[in-house]
Amino acid sequence: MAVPVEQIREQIVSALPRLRRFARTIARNPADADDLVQLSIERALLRFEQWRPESRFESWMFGIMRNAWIDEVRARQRHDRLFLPEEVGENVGDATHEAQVQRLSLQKALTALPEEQRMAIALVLIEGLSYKEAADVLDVPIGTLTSRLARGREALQSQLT
Amino acid sequence: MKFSDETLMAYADGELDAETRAAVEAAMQEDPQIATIVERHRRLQSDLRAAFDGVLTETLPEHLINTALTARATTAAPVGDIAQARAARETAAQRRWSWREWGAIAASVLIGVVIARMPWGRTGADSIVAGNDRVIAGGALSSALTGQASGTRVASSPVLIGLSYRDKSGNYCRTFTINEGAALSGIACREGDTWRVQALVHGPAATSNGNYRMAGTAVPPLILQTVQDSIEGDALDAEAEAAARQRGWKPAP
Repeated sequence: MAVPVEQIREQIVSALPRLRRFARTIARNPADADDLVQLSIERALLRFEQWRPESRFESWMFGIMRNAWIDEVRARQRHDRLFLPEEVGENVGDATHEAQVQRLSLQKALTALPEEQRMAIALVLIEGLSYKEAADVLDVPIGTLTSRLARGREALQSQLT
Repeated sequence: MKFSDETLMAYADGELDAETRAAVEAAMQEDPQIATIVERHRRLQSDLRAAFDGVLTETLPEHLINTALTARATTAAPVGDIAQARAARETAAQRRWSWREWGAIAASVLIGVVIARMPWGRTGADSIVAGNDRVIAGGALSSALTGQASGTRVASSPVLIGLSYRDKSGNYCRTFTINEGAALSGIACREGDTWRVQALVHGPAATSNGNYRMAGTAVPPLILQTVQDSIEGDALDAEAEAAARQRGWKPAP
């Protein structure tokens, strides 16, 4: 039995802060991130009956966001548009404080990673998904997930120290 | 004992089985270098969280909430032929009918129950007025519905307007929350010179942190359902809303 759409709508609204955070780790500036969330909500509602209460709602949404992002990147490449990673972290405000500087440099370092590593890091380390859940979202075997995670971590750590 | 970096990573992430976990913990006791590696993995995680957690407490963009509440949802897979299409249409029509009926009954019952139980604050007393066979907005609620922009908290007003839309007969409707003494959420639609209250439920009180609104808890399911059921097109954006307000909420030509 599919869950009624009203319940899905409420779940989406409740999950919005996390969906926006995940988008912020994938897209390279806050405006693109919110556009990604918007597109993903529209897609989710068009296939809301595919969600099953056995799986975590956020994981389902993350999977939709990942696919939406891949489509978006392809579309942009078709239009020969370039990404401009400079805008990352503009929401942090006045970066005088040491901790803020560190947050900014970590945001930058993450966005510099190859996309597949970035998503693995975001899902496991930021969103707290298990390896199995993250592998399902990315549609890869667990072994692939862990090696992407390991490579991503190594790259981040070498940049930060 | 030697562990691969991936094993230590999995340990830091809580992904090892009990046996391997115990072995790693024993090794950490003996070899401070292993403990250092694990510590580095954990610190990276907490630094990453710190770098992105700020997003969680940002004010949610209104357009995302509106999309979640009102964007089109489909229930059935694409249909292949006319007979299937007709069957799908009929099921959809039936489903909508039963909702509407249920919603209307529930709303009228709830309005009675809510009004009877309401520990009216000074705003509440004249906010909801029972007419002959209708319930209309009065006092602070009426002026907020007429003059206040959606999603904006006005210091002097206990009313927060959620979103505005047109219903199927072309009238403007707005969702609202009154937060004084107790919280009430509802929908009112413009009829002539008054706002007719279509649905009203006890809502959870808004958080004390006024600018951070978890709309998921602020919009009760019945209200959502009633919006869903009566909306024509999408919710109004800020510009369309301002235009409607200037026209005194008269149905658009």
